[in-house]
Amino acid sequence: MKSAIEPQVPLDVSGAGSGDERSVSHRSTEEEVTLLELLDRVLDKGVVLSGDITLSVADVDLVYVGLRVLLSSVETAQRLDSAGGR
Amino acid sequence: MLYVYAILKSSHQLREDSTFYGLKDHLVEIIRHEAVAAAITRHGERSIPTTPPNVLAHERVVERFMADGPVLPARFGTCFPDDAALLATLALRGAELQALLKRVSGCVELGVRVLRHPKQEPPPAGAVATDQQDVSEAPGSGRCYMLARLHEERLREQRQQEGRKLAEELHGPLSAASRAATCRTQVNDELLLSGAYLVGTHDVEQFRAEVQTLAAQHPDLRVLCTGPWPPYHFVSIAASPEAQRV
Repeated sequence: MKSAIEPQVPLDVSGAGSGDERSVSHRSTEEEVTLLELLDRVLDKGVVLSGDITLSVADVDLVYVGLRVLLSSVETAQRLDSAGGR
Repeated sequence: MLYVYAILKSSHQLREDSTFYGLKDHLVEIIRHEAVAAAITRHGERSIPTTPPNVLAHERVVERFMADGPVLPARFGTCFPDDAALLATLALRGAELQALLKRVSGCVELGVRVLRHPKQEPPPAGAVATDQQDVSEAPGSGRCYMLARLHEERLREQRQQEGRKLAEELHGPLSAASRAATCRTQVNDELLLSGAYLVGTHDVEQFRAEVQTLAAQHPDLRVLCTGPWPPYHFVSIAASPEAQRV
């Protein structure tokens, strides 16, 4: 079975922004959506047994903030890479 | 401390190498009690930090098991102090867990997010009642400001109503094409629908085709389909008083 987390780009069925001409911002949005979907599931859903959920809400917020920072960095790096390649 | 990734059938068989590693490269073990089992790793520390690598490691282990049979993915951070505590829970919750395993057997979860494009065309003139004439008559006045705010608020409400209607139109057929579904609509101005759908593994392509059809009917929206995921949205059991968030 194909993993949901690799590759980290969801199927964009809207037709908009598909193919090689997709912009960096579209790619970033799609990757961001998949990562957000992952975090929403792993951190907020799933079976809760009668154990301890040792999950700090502050930590969860930091993961989301970190994700934003990471994706911004990726987008910036891709843009720079693209500009350098011309 | 035992960190739990997922609940499985005791008979769950891995087709490939059954030795693999989870959080912090610790060996994944299976603890069995009668018909149900838990996939775990053992750790010296009392909690696992919520970091992107740890979240991904959790997901990889769950997906590894999902490839070979039904799983109930545990929420990130589920821990037990020792084997006895985990076994006691498996014994106590065994019937519920078995029922859930049966429910998700042969299914995966697909996610659908529907987003407006960031820049939308403004509504046609006359679609919303405005007091533009009044506004233009008294620029800079308090009345002008309040009328402008009222106009903005009406536009926002109209946009939200349209968004909710659209989301319902999209969710209906997707729900019908799945075995179970849950969704949030009009989450924010951009995100109209965030849905999770339990779909038979053999029906995934059919479901995606349905999503594609809906997307074609709404070229002004971006429709993103993710997965297959473990069935995170469809494995809830009655909350335990011991489960807590800190």
